[in-house]
Amino acid sequence: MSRNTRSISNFPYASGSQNRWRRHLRQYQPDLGQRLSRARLVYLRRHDARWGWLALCLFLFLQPDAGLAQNLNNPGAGTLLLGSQDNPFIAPAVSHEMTATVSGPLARVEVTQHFINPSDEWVEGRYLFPLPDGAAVDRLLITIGERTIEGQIKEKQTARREYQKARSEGRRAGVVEQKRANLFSLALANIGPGEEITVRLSYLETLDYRDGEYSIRLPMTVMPRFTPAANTVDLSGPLAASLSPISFVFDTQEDRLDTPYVSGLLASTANIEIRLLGDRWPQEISSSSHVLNIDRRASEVSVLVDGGFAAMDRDFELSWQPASGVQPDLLMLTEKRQGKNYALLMFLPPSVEQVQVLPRELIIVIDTSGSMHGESIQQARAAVDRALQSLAPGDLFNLIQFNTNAEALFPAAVLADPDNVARARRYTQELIADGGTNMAPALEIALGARDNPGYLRQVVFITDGAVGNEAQLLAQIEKELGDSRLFTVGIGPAPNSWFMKKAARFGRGTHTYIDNVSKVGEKMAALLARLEKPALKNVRIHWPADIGVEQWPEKIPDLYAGEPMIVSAKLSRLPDHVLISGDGGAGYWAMEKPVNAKQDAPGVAALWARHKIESLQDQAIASGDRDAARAEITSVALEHGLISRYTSLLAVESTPVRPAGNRLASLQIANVRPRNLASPGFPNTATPAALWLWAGIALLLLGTTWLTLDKRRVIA
Amino acid sequence: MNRWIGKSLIAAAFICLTNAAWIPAKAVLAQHLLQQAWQRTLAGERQVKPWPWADTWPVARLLAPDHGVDLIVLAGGSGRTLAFGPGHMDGTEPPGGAGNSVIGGHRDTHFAFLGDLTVTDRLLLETTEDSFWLQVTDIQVVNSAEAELNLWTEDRLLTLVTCYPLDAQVPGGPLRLVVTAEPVPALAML
Repeated sequence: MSRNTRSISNFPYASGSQNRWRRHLRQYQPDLGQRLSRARLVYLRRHDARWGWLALCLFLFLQPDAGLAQNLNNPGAGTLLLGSQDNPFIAPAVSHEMTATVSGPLARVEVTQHFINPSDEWVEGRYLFPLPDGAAVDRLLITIGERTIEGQIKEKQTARREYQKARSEGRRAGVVEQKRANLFSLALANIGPGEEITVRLSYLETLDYRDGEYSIRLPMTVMPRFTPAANTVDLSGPLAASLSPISFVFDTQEDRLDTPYVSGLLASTANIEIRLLGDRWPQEISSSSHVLNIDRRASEVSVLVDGGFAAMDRDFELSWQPASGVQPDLLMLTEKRQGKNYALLMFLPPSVEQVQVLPRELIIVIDTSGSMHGESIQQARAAVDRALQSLAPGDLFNLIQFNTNAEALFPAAVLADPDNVARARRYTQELIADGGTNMAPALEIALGARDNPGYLRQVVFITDGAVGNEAQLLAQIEKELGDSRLFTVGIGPAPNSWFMKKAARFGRGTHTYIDNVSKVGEKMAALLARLEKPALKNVRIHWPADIGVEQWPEKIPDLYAGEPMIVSAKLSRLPDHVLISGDGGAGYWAMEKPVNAKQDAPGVAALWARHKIESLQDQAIASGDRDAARAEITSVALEHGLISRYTSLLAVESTPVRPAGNRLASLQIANVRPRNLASPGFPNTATPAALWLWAGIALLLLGTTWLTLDKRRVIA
Repeated sequence: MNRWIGKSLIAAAFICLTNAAWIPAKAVLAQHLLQQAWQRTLAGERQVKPWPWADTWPVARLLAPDHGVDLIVLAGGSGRTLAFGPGHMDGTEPPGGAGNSVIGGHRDTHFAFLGDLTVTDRLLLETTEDSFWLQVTDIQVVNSAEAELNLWTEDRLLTLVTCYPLDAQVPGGPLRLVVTAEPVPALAML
């Protein structure tokens, strides 16, 4: 709530400034008169004209301010702002529903989007939307009127060709493609005048479990992956807070899908329901993003967003604790599909006793790029401060900030004595967000200087991850990591969590997400505690020798206390026991447990395929050639019916609906901008040259008039 | 005392006028220095600073032969950079890459010519890799508070952005003129 108030409070300042100045002048002038001598006063009355000139000039200066205020006041809410004139403006009504059914660590999420074409033209709709990065997207249903067409998985280029063909032949078609790991696009061809379309998309995911708490995130908006220009006027703040604008784009050219055209405003909300199934009695159900309405029934808990509709300018986040004692330290879910056994293992590492405490070298990196402007930088500053306070006297530390350039506070890591820590804390308070997001040099400094052997080297990287060159950065981390560990801290209303989780994975650390200033203390404390506790390293699962196993990920990452390991496996038969071993702080550690294979859990096979695709993709990224695993990924995705980098879901109708003579217009619906994103992303591209010129002319006029009047008085 | 006020007003006027003249002068002068830095970049140097204290470097050269325009594009879209030349926005595809490369420029200096462009006009983009022709396919005015840059495409696109209206007296408005250009296939040039 505090964010809203803050952005709005800036707002009347701009719009009221002209009046304030008028008032200021009215009040100031008599006051000035009283303080002048009587002679002066007489003089003043006689030569009022000159003060009039001065006032006029002041107004000339104030005019720009007023002009800006008007722009802010009337951003064109609900109206067409711009567009090419021969194209009429049409407003599609869009609504979203998201229903998540949660059972244990699995969630099946159904996303329903309604589109209405209110125009009298045949249109093509295009829409970009985010999904969680680990999502296994496997179902697409498109309903138009009474008819429903179901999506089939196809190789991406094949799907594109078939879609284009259906599109030009006037048949209904829809295709969902993966644009990035967490960004998908939907295209719908041949929506008739006035028609209503419902698109249902469904995905599976494993939930985050950490420190005894499950959490689910429904991404609602996409962080633009570019860096805003410096010195931008905060135009979107008040808008984003009050209106949740959704802009869309209209294109009449048939063969061009990608060009944005017209933008307008439309309030956008989603209807969200989360159903927590099973015999558990979840506790502490809470959301830091939205207000909840919780309904407890006999066998399930249903969570709705209060009022039914959730603003889509921020991700929806929900967390809960399974009833105490119910969460076992080893959980195995299985599914039999086409004669093969699939298993999903969730294993909680025990808290290991620490034998020796190594002194650490803590490198804190903070993103001060323009995209961090607003609340994000405040959160980041608070997080850094917290980390600085946690340093023990024997530790080494350094602080690096980066935007377009990277800058280290100290040339090399220094001892965490009170002076150095105080200096770093002062430095932190003065950080401002401005400039580009150039992460590579910061990573280079953070991972590069390794001249303190015997120290546990930990890099805490605080950012919103708004970068475009993710693969390149991940390859850099893989190459330069050495024995450092990289811990990423995600900040802001819609951080690029895919990148940050991957960066932590490649950096063999963990990822923490902070979505709210009030959570900074708690979340950073949990992270710092994790940094102090040893991880379980070299974790291995010992499957019985006579079982054929294909396990993903192949190499299990280091485990930290409170965070589970999740492994998928394809097995020739189900084992009775499973043995897990690893190196703890106190030496070798192993645990053998009977497998309590629960009932068939649908989705385990699809998630295995998803984990395999992800691991293959990671290997390809680390190798430097992103497409190295194309053939293998395509075949897994096709076999399990999943959308991937190389496969899309395509739904086509066999008979044409659009009459041959009618052209097809195109409609693109853009995303709601994350709230608190301070800049619109476009560069500021006007110089004040004209303003200087006018000011100069005005002052010149004023000065000469003044002098002329003065001369006249002298002569008189 | 009164003459002093009048004189200082005139002195202030000259400061303003100097500022007004310095902005376009800087824009023109910098481009000359940048041409040299670009030649060194083409010769194989990387991140060539056009002057010792510069915090940017040339990344491409943009020509509009029909409009007599020859500009060096700098890295980054900050106000400091744009004073010297059009800037390639961080986080967008590098010029010539497979994606949307966004270049911003000042409406009253380097990118004033955007107002003269029409669809089908040709632009020549020179990068460190190669140089190729582009054709203007789309000209739009958008509201930067709401419109999004299309950064999710894998098509080779060049987007030129400047403030709109081009002759507005006051900087900071929300409107932008957005010109999109696509590569012309080599065969079509014949």
